Amino acid sequence: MNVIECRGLAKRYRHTWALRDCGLAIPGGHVVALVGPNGAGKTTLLNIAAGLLRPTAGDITVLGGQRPGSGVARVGIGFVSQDAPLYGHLRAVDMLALAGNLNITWDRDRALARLADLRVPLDRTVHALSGGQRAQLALTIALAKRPRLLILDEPLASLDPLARHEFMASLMGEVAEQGLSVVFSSHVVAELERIADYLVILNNGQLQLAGVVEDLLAVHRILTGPGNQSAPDAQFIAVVHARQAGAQAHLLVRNSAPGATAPQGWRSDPASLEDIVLGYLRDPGARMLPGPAMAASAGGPAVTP
Amino acid sequence: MTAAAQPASQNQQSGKQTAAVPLRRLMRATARQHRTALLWTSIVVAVLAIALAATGVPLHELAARGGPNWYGASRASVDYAGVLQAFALILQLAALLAGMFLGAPLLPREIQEGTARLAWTQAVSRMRWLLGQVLPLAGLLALGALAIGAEFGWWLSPFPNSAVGQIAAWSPWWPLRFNLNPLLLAGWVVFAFTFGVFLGAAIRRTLPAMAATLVCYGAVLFEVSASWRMHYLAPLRLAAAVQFRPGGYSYGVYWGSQQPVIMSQALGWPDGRLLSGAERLRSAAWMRLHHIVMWITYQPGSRYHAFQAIELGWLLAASAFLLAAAIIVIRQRPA
Repeated sequence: MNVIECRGLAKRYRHTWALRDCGLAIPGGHVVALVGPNGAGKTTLLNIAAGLLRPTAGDITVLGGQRPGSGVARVGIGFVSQDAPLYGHLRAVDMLALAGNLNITWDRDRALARLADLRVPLDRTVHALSGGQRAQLALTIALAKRPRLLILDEPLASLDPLARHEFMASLMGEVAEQGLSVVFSSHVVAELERIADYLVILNNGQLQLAGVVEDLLAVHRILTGPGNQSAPDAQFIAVVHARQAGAQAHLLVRNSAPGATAPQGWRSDPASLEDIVLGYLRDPGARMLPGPAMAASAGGPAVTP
Repeated sequence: MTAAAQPASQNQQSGKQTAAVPLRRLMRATARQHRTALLWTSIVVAVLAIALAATGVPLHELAARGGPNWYGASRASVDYAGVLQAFALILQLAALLAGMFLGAPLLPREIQEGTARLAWTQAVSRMRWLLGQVLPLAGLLALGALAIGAEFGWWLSPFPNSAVGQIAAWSPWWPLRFNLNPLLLAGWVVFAFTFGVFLGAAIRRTLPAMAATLVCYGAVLFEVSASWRMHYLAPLRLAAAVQFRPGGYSYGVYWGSQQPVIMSQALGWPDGRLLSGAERLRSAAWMRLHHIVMWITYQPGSRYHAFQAIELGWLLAASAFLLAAAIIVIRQRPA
C-alpha cells in the first residue's frame, strides 16, 4: 500500500506555482523525510495530502487509494500542521479532551500516559506551555487517534536542539511500537540519517529525488580528484554536483551500474545523506525519481553545473 | 471533563466505512472551546435580566397604584416611556452583538490562528464540525433571547394600547418593539449569529467580518423595520365617509379593539380612484356632490400574529440558508 501516491500533481497560488508535475509513490512502513529549502512546496504538498488544500491539477491518493480529506483518510491520518496550532486558552487536559470529541478512534489513556511520561503539565493552559511541550501535545493528539499515517509539517522548526532530540526520540518510540508510517517535512538536514529511512527532496515546486535511504547511500559516492581534470566518464557515472575547492574537485556522483568503481586518478568515498541532500539542493536540475522519471533522468546525459 | 474514550478496534482502523462523529460529542467539544464566550454571553443576559427586573418592579407598582389610567397621571409614569425606548434599543443592539462578537469571529479566528488545520484534519467532517459549533451556540442564544423577550413582555404589559393612527412606543406594531416578542427576538438573534458566521466564512478575517456583520445585519434590520415588514401581506383598503364643510372636513372609523397600522390615507372617488391635485382643491360642495370619500390603506391589527409568524419563518429559513452557505464555503476553501 502506498501511503501517498500522486501523478502530475500541481498547485498554483494566483500567479505562482507552488507545485509542478509531481509524481510520487511513497510505500507504507517508512519514516519519510520530505526535504527542501523554504518555499519549495513542502507545506503545500503535505496540506494537499491532509485534505486541507485542493490541487490545481493532477491526482493524489492517500492510504492506498483514498481521496485526501475523505472520511477514511481523516480517520487514518494524524496531521500536525506547521507551528502545531492548538487552542491556546484551553488547559492541556481540555485540549486533549476536545480533540477526543472530534474523533471516532481515540486512545485517551495512552495519550495521558504519554503526556505524563513527557512531564507535560496537564493543568496548565496551552499558552503557558513551552514550545517543546506544545509540539509534544500536538503530536500526542495526532497519535491518540491511532493513525495509520502520521504527517508532520516542520515539526522541528520551532524547537531548540534538546527539545528537537526529545521530540524525535519519542516519535521513533511510537513508530516502533505502533508500526505506523510517518511523513515529515524539514529543512534541517543534519541527523536525518538517524531518523528517516526514506528521502524525498522537493525543490522549487518540483520533485528531485525519492527513494529508500539505504539505496540512495548505496548508489551515491563522493569522488575527489585533481581540479584540472575533466569529469569522469559520463556514460559510467552521473554527476549530480561538482564543487571546486582549490586544486581539488569534489563530485557527488551516482553510479549507473552496481559495483561501479572509481575512474583512475579519483578517490571514491561513501556519501552521507547530508552530502546527497546538499548536492541535489545545490543543483536543482538533477533528478532521481522512481518510475519513468528515473529512467529518463538516468539514461540521459549527466547533469553538470 | 472526561472525554469519551473509545478504544480503537482494528476493524475501525482498517474498515473502508467510517462512522460519523456523534453530534453530542461535537457539542461537548464546542462547550469546552467556547467556554469564555458562553460565560460573557450569560453575563450580558444576566445584566439585562436584572436591569429589566430592577425597573420593572417599580413600574408595575406604579401602574397598580394608578389604576387603569395610570399612564400620564404622573411625571414618573411618562418617564417610563423613555425607559421603554431605551430598553428596546438595547435589545436590538444585543442581537447585533451576538452576530458581531459570536458569529463573525467563529471561523476567521480558527483560520487566522491555524486551529482550523487542527480541527479539519480530525475524523469529523467540516460540515458536522460547523454544525456542532453553530447549533449549540445558536440554541443557547435563542434560549437567552426567549427569556429576555418574555421578561420584556412582562415589563411593558402595564402600558395602554396605542392611540388611533399612530404607532406609540408601546404599540405591539412599533418597529423597535415588534421584533422583541420572545419568539421573534430569538429569531433575530439566531439570524444575526448565522449571518455573522456566514460572513466570517466568506471574508476569513475577524475585524472585516465583524464590520461586515454590523453593516449587513444593520441594513437588513433597518429595511425590514422601516418598510418590508408592512408588505408581508397585501394591505386592506376601506372607504370612510367624510363630512365636508366649507374650509375643512372630518371623518371617523371605528376600528374595534385592535388598532390597525395605517399606511396611507387620501381622498378619492367611490370607485377607488384617488383625487388628482387639482380635484383636491375643489369646494366642499363639489366633494359632497360627487360623494368623495377617504380611502384608507391599512394592515388590520388582527394580522399581528400572522406577521409575527411570517417574520419568524423567513428569519429561520434565512438562518438555515446562511448556515448551508457557510458550510459550502468552508468545504470549498482551503484551511
